[in-house]
Amino acid sequence: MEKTALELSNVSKQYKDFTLDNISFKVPQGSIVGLIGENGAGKSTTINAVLGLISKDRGTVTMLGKTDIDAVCKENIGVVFDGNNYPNMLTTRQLGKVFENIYSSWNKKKYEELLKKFNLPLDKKIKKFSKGMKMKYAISVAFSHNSKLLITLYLSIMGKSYFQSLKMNCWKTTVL
Amino acid sequence: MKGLLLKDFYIIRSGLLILLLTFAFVGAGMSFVISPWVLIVIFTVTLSFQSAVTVQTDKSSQWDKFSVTLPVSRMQTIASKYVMYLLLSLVGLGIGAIISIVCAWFQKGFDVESLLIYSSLAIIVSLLPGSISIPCSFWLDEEKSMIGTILAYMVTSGIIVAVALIFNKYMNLQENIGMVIGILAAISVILYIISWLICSSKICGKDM
Repeated sequence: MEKTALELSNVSKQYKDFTLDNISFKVPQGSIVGLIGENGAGKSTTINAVLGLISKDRGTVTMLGKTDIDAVCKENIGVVFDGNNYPNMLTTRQLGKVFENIYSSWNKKKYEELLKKFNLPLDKKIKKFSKGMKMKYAISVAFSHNSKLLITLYLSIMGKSYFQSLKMNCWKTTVL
Repeated sequence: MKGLLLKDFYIIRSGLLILLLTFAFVGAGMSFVISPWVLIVIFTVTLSFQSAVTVQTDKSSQWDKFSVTLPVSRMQTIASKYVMYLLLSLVGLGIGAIISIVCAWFQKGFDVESLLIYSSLAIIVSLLPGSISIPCSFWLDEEKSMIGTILAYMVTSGIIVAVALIFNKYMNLQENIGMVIGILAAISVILYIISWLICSSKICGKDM
């Protein structure tokens, strides 16, 4: 039987001027799935609900077999937002040390290899990075721990060719 | 939580050396004009304030959003800010006390009672505003949280004056200043703990 990495069942969220109405879909393990829709369709709201950034009014999100986001082992989730999410005054070396103390599965060797692959210097502050470099850095972080599910709002990642172009082995990872 | 504290330490450290050197020199000079013990209060407040600033840094860099996806609970994120605030208050108290003792020693004005009173005063003017400004930083945007911080110091002054006036009605304040400051310090610690508990319960369920 096909295993499911992510399942949304009747997820709803009501705002004053917008309603996310009964969203249901399944993302099988090992697949790459894209959410496509016009502006304001609720793609980001859906992902925010999946990640627990917003509370749901109704419905369930099952991620890697768990329905409670707090019960999901977040070591297994990698997230790349569309923009910078790291303190600007920190260097990648400092952030590496921070993540080493946050993720128990943090792989320092892999992190440094990815930084090298992306030509990201260890002692440069994030604020001196271009937008592209910041995105590459976010991908490096997402793949330096035990990510089984990669959730991204950065469109360029979508597609196997992106990972192939980077010679990254991501066959175990589900990408949304 | 260690990783979160380390991140805040790196953020604070980037501007800390200049701040400490400035206060050390300005404070040492000031201590000859006014009481050297005031330095304890200045250092404690200045350093502890840096922790509340990191909440806004997290917001502006969107780390607060990203941290929800990390294997740390939001309760731990909030706890890290309160712990960092306490640690910085203690470091500020320590540095301020050392510089004050040295200055007082040179001025031949060293006495343990003043050291204890000003140390307690430093705890009051650090923890009381902290118990208001930290939740404000989490709850409000950058601009409004700055107003919250200013209000926090105004409320602190108000509480100190109110308690002093109440005690002044029933006893000689000058003679019992140690006791009054001690009671205020105890109130500050209690309010800080209450703020920590309320912030944890209210912010954890808040949408990002």
